Amino acid sequence: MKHLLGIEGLTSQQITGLLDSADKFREISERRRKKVPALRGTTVVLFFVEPSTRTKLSFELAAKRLSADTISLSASTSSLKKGETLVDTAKNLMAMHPDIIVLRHSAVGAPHMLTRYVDASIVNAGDGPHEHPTQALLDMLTIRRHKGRIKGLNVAIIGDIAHSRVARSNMFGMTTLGARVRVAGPRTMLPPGIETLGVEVFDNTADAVRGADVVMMLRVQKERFTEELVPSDREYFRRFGLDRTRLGLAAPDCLVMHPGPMNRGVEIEPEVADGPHSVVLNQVANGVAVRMAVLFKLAATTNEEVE
Amino acid sequence: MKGYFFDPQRGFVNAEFEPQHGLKVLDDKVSERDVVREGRVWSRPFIDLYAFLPDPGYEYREDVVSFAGAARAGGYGAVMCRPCTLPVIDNASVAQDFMQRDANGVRLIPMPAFSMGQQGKRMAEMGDMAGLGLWGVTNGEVPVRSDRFLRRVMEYARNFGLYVVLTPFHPELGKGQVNEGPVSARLGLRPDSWAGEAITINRYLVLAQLTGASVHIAKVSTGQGVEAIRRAKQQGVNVTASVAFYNLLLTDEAMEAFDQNLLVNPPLRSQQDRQALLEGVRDGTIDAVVSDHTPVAVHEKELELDFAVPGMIGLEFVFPALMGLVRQGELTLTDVMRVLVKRPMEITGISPEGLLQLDMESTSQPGKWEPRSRSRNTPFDGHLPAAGVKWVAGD
Repeated sequence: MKHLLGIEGLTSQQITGLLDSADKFREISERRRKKVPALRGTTVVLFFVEPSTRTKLSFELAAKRLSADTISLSASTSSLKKGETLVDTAKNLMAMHPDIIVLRHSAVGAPHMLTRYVDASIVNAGDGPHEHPTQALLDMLTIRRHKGRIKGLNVAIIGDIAHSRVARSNMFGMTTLGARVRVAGPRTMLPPGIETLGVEVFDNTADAVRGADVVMMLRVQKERFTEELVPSDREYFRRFGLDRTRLGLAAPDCLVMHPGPMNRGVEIEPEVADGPHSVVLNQVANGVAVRMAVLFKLAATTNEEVE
Repeated sequence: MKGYFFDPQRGFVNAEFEPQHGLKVLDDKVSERDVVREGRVWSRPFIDLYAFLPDPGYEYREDVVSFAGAARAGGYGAVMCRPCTLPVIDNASVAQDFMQRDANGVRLIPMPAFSMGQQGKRMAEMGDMAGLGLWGVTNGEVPVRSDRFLRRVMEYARNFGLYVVLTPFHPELGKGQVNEGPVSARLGLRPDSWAGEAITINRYLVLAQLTGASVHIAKVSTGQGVEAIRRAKQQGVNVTASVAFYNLLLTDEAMEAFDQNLLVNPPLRSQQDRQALLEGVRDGTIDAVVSDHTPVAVHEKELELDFAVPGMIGLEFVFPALMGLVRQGELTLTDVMRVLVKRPMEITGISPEGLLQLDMESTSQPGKWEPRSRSRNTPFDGHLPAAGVKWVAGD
C-alpha cells in the first residue's frame, strides 16, 4: 500500500489488516513512555489546508509515538496564502524528501492529484465531501472492539450524508466488511444515487435506528451550506436528531458514535452524547492507534520498494 | 487517382482526383460498405459549430496561429467561435477584426454576443453584425436569466436571419463537476442534475416556438435534452442541436481518476445519457458534433478540481474520436460525415474551400503525438490514433 486515498477499493483483508495492526498499536499509547522507534528517520508532513483540530493532533501524536519527524503546514502558514499552487508547494516540499504527506483539503480529489506530482506516500486526511479514510478505520476499530465484529451488524448513519466524507468512507468500509448500513436524513441532505452504494435509505431517524447495533450521528455542517437545506436547527433536532426516545428503539447494547465536533442539541441530545451508549471518546483514542497503523504500513511499503 | 467522395447532397460517390485538375465526381453512388472496405474517402472540410479561440485577450492559452494549426490538423475549414474573448465580441468592429485575421485558410467565424458584454441585459447591435455575413449570435456559456430578454433577442435576430445559439446551462441546478447520480454520490463531487438541462432546453424550445426564430442548442448532454429536441422537431419547431464530442466518448465513471482534464461544460454524464446522445446522432435529432475546443493553460488547469478551469481542447481529436465510435459499431461513417460536413454546411450555409483525404484506419501508430494547440488540456493525448486527416487541395 503506497498511499491511503480512500476506503473505497480496499479489500476486507486490507481493512482488517489495518485494524489488527491498530489493535496492537493501542498498547503503546497506554504505556508510561509512549514511544517506539519504528519510524525513526521517517519524515511525515502534516499538510492541513483546511482547518482541523483532532485529526491533525491525532496524526501528529501517531507519528511522534512512532519516532517519525513531523512538520506541520497549514494554509495560513504556507505559501498557498501568497498564491502558490498546491502542486508547486508539494513539489517544493518534495525537494526536502519527506516520506509521507498527510493532506487535508476542501477539494475532492486533491490528494489523488498530489500522487501524480510527488513521490511521497499520500494519506488522505479528508478531501472535501469525498473520503476521510482514517476516520472510518477508527470508527470500525471502535465498533469491533465493543462488538467483536463488524459483519452482520446493523449500522445507522444519520444526518448530512451528501456533504459528509465520514459517511462515505464508513459506507464503503462497513459494507465491504459485511455490515448492513442504513442511512437517514432530510432528503435535501441525501445525495441522489445513494441507493446504489449498497445502503438502505430511510426517511426518518426512528425507522433507521430501530434495532440498530450502532448509531452514527453526523455533524450538521453549517459551513458547507450554500443553500437552505433544512428550515431550522430546531426542526432538525425534532425531526432527525438523536434523543433518548429514539435511542430507545435501537438494540439495548447499541453504540452511539459521532465523528465530532458535536452540535449538542442540533443532531444529538446532550444526555445521549454523554450517556452510557456513547463511545465518542473511545473513537478519539482509537484514532491515534489507527493512524499509527496507517503510517507504519505506508512506511513499510516504501521501505520494501527501496530494498 | 480513383476513389470515393462524400458528396453532401448525394452521399458516397465514385470520384477521380488529380492534384492539377482537382476532384471530378463520377456519376454512380456507392455504398458505405465499399467505402469502409477501401478505408479512405475524400471529403469537403469539416465545419465546427462551437469552439473557443481565446485570441485576443488570452493568447497564452491559444493564439490565431496555433488555433489555425490545430483546426487544419483536425480537418476544419471553418470554425464558429464563441464571443468571450477580451474584449468580448459584441459589436461589428470587434467581430470584423476577429474574422479578418489570417488563419492559414481556416475561416474564423465569430458568434458575437447578442447581449452587450454577455451580460444578458442590453441587446448588442445584431443588425450591424449580420452585415458581416455571420451565421449566429450567442451568449456563449453564460446563462440568460430573463425570459423576456431572450424572447426579444430571438424576435430581433429573426429580422436578420441570424441563428440564436444557446447552451443548456442552468444557473442553479447546473454548474456541477459531474453528472448527478450514483457517481456523484460515490465521489462527493459537486453534482449537476439532468433537470437543469431539461428545464433550460424546454424553455428555449418554448421561446423558439413562440418567436419562430432559428435556434441552435449547442452541447446537449442528457437523454432528456435529446428527447425534448426530438419532440420539438416533430412539432415543427425551428431548432437544431449539437453535442460535444467528449460526451459521446466519456461517461461520469471516468471522473474517479479525479483528472482535471475531464472537467468540462457540460460535465460528463451517465452511460444512459451517452447512449441517448448516440441515438440522437443516428436518428438526426442531433445535427452536429462540436469540438467545444477550450484551451486552458497549465497554471489554470494544474489545480484542485474546485479551482481548475473547465474545458478540454478538441479540434484535433473529434475525427479520430468519431472514427473510434465507427469501429465500435456505435456510429456509421455516414453519421460521421453528416455531423461534421453535411448538416453544418446546410445549417450555416457555409461551404469552405479545399478537399480532405480521410483515412479510417489511421496510418500512424496510436500513441503520443504533439497537438498543435498551444494548450495541452486533454485526457486523450496518447489514447487516440493520430487523426487520419490530410489536406489534398486547398493547401
